[in-house]
Amino acid sequence: MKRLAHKSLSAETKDLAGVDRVILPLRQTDRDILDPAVSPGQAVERGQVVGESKQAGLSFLHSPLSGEVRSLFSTVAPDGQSVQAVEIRGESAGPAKTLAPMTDEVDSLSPEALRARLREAGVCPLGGNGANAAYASLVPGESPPGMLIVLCTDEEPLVQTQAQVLQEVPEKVIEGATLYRKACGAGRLVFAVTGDRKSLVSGETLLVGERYPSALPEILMGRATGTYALKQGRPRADVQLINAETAAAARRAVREGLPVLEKLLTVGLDGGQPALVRVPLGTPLSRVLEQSGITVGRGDRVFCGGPLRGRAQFDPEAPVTKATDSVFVQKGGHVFRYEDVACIGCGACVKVCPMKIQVNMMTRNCEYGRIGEAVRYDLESCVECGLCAYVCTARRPLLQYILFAKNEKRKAERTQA
Amino acid sequence: MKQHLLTVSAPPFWHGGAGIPRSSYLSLAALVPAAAAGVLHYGIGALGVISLSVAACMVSEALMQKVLGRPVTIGDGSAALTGVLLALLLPAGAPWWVVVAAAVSAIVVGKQIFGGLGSHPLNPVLVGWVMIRISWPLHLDPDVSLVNLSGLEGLSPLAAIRGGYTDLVNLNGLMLGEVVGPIGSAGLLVLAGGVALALLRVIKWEVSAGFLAGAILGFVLLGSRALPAGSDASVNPLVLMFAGPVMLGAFFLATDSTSSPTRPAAMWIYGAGAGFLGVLIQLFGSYYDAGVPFGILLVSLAGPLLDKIRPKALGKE
Repeated sequence: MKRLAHKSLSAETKDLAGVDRVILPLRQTDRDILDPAVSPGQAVERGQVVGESKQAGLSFLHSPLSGEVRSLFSTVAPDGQSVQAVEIRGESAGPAKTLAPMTDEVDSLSPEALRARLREAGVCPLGGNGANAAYASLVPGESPPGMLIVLCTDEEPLVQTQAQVLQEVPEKVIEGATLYRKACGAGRLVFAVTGDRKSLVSGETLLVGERYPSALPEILMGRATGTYALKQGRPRADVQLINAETAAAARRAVREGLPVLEKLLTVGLDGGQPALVRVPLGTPLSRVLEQSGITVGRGDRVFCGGPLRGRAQFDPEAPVTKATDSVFVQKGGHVFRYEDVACIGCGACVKVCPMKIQVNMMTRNCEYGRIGEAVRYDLESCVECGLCAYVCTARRPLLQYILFAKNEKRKAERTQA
Repeated sequence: MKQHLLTVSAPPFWHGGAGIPRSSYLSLAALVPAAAAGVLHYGIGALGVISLSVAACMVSEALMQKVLGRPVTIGDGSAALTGVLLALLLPAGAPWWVVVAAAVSAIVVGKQIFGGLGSHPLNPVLVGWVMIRISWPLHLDPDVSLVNLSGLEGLSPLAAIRGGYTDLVNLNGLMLGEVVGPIGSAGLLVLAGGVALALLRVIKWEVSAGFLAGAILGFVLLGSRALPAGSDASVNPLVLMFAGPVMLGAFFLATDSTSSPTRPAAMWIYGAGAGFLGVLIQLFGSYYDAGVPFGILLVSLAGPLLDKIRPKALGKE
């Protein structure tokens, strides 16, 4: 289980130069579904809005290239849903179109103005394969959240992105966090950070263990507030969470007027040394991998996110979105195959579960679609960390059963509604 | 870049490396010292019993899986482990047909009929053993079946203690299996193997610890009452710990993953209950040599009930 510890890497971030074609799906995180603001054949500037929305809280999407809109087409997002995308050809060099910088002191900026700025600059909860959209919202609720947690480390092993952002620009993360706190109205500002990087932040901190799953948002929010929310999929009223990169993006949007055009990624071969690469949004994953000297062959697994709860990609041409934190390739020979066999009752999953669920019984019910029984066995407490499958002696695909049951439950609830 | 077919699946993309074959083969390795001591002490006949039992278990598992249309999984070592454990409970002089009957009952009735590994409510080893123990008690009585083997005289330790002849029992010989008893009598070697398995997290150590605690409690409280009334002999609880298959029960029989619970509290209760019941039967029951197997079987029946003991999951209102 040594592999489950976070390892800090001190590497230089490289910029991916020479990207001449990007694909920008009009849904960047799981929430935002945008309307196109451009049409095929239209010339665009770097930083120009290409996707917008009248809906409150949805942040805009901007072109990372100066060039021409080639097409608007329907593509399949990593979650399997089809979504419209904008294809742009051009070049990423040169200055970007910016908004007017807001230079006032934090205290004299109004939350409304800040929220409008963040939205127009495309700042939304970055990373987390889209899951982070559920932990924070700039739409004012009935009461402002009591706490804003800024996650300055990565949720999963292998991924180094957030730790790198903090390492590179700690003062910008801190200022951005202050600005974001003001925008969402949160009471306390807490930096979640590992012990070795604690000195980089100031103010209130929440120490995160080195070992997975201590940096998972649900677990951190539960630790910080003392309560774990059962219903997931929407921000909590009492606590919200963003990561370091989102905070840094908020600072750039406010102080420099710069929209979100790039994403920092951890790129690597599973089992090799990962690298950190800053890429324009919409760059195909294959291009990112190629630049890092990684080839993708038949039967390999390409996944975004970490090895415990990342998402396997169908197509290496899939674009980098604001939700992408990392891309890894697992060579065909290293692909682990889970098996469709019976539980032998060894109890390893029960021991390892951070939420104290009786996983063996719950997943049996999940497997056979007995959703009501699975809920009685605490399906709703599950944070999908994947450790149960990782330790399973029978090698059952436990997280797959859980995700299946949760999806069935959502479908049933939608039908009833 | 050329278009390739990728491997796509739900996460996780890593696995910790645990597996059924790994558990089975480590358990088998942990039993090697005890089995070797059995062969050294009881002669080549013991090796015959072990080999026959393993072969019969593996063949019946393969045949049953074929008949029931399931994938044949005898390579995972679980049938072989059943065979070795079964043999360690038998005396070296057991007739071949008793061994085969036990092995077939264990695999067919104890395991495959219920759905194979993971579905059996009782430990298959014990099902097979109890079947022959009740059917042919004389063939399983070491006092009787070992009479023909040279160099072995006297009573089995439990019989000696219950008869009040405690001075016949020598603790050192007892721990190394130099007694009239089943092949797996070398309790100290079983204990060593069991501790290694617990440290490797192959078995549920809570069950083993609970079992030992229950057994010690039983021996300390009730040990001297097992002696005949009016006897002035005394008995060391440590002797009692090694006089029957207590160690085999604690580390290899009660810890059967499928028939034991998974929560810490439930595992402790399960182990302690099995240990205590086993001791009660050993000391006072008429099937005294069957104390440990019967104790475990009885508590296994309460397994589903024990699985209801669970703390609240986090986030539960």
